[in-house]
Amino acid sequence: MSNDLLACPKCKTGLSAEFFNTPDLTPCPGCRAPAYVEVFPALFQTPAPAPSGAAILTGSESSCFYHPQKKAVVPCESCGRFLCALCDVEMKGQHLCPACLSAGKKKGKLKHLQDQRVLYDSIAVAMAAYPLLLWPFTLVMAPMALYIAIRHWNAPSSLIPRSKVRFLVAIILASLELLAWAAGIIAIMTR
Amino acid sequence: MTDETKPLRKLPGRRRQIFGLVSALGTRLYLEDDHLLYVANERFTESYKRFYFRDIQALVFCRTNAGLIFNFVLGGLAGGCAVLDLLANWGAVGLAILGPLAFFFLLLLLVNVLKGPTCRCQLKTAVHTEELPSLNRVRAARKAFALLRPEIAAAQGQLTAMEAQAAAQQRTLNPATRGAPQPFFHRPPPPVKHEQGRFHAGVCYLLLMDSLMTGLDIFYDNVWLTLSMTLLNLALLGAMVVALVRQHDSDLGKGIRSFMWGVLGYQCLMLVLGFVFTIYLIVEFKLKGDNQWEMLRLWSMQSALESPLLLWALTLSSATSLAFGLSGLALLRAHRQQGKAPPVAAPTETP
Repeated sequence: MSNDLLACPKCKTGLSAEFFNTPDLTPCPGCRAPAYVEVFPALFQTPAPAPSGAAILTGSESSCFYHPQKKAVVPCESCGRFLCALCDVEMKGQHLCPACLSAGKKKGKLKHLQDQRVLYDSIAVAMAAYPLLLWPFTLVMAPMALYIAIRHWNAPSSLIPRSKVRFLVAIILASLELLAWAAGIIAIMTR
Repeated sequence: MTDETKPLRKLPGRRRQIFGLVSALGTRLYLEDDHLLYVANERFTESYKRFYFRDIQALVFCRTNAGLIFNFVLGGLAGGCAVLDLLANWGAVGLAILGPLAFFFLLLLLVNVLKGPTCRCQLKTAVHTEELPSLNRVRAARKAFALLRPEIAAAQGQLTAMEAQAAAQQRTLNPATRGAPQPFFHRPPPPVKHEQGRFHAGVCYLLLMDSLMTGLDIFYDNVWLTLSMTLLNLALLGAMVVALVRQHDSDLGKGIRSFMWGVLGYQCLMLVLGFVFTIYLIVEFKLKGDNQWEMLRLWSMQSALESPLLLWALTLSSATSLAFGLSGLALLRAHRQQGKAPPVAAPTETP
């Protein structure tokens, strides 16, 4: 391990302090590829000690729900339980207890904790469009695409704002496929 | 538990993978009020990573040659289509097929050139280093950094070059700061091995031979000469691969290294042109592609003295091989003389 705090993304050679925050690109000592490094104060800061929660000194002080011997500092904004400094999780100005945080993440209520979302609109479009390559499959896939589009119309989609146009395309395409099937069946039966 | 929805700001740069099945199909970066949001689209799902401004320690990017290589490939493909169209007398049909193809490759080349040089970008926090694939162009990375800088500065302050260097120096000198972010774990520099450059010399001599034989090929149409040239080119490719492997982590100068990569590029171009010429022969003489001997015979029958384009191509190839061979030998000579120079005597301690 060298004393270099950063490494070249290409060759992993350590980049010394002369590279930091210079306006121009400087050749990496390892691969000679021009590199640009921008560092911020966090690189040199010592991490602050984690809060452990103060012990209760007098009988009139409220105690933490999870640690009865620790002093409560804030109530959970979701369930109202008293929390010590150790149990208090601050997120976007909200104070939550670990249980509510976990439940919020599981139920998808906390947008800032979500690390994945299913794109039902893309699924619906794919289910309506891909089977056109092997058209007999449309008989099964078109109703499924319709079901997904209608069932998940109001489900949270991507975190990046996007319109409902994919759902609409899926519904129109699947409906047309079903209409074509109906027309075909009627034509065969009336022949 | 409520979440306020605030508008996201798109950062420049995007990476798209049309046929990405395992990895993300596309990645993009967005700015939120207190963090950077990394969005990876995986066709039917989206994954998110958040980098809070207060936690970002450094942003690094390094220029890569990917764009340049892509330019060469696209240029070669467009040139190949144009040469094939010139060589083959397919008339309107050939032009209708090869013209749009060449135009398509040229368009891609133009887009790639306009996008500017490529780079590899990373973001470092106290606990990990994250690759940012969407910032794969220097221009996009610079623009994104410019947008990120004030946000990060608002969260944790800003450092000038001098301040950053002083802080790094202090961190190195002061053992009390050992609890601070740990230095980056990186691969120790590999030991440099001495390389005589025998295979490099071999490549140079083979190039000189190639130059001579190509020159002869202009005047003599002989199947054995064509066969010898094919074998020579195979030997050249083999020697080049070995030379490129041996020059890795060696004391060979940058000039010789670049020279070897240049020869590789030249040989690849020759291979592409040869391939195009073979297709032309197959189509023109309605030949079956699996009859190698017939193909070789046809190759040798093409008289350079009767075709100005072939004459021009062979002369240029001969001259380029000669230039490469001689310049490579000169570079190697300089390297060997440098190696023979007496080492500088270590200063002796005077009493």
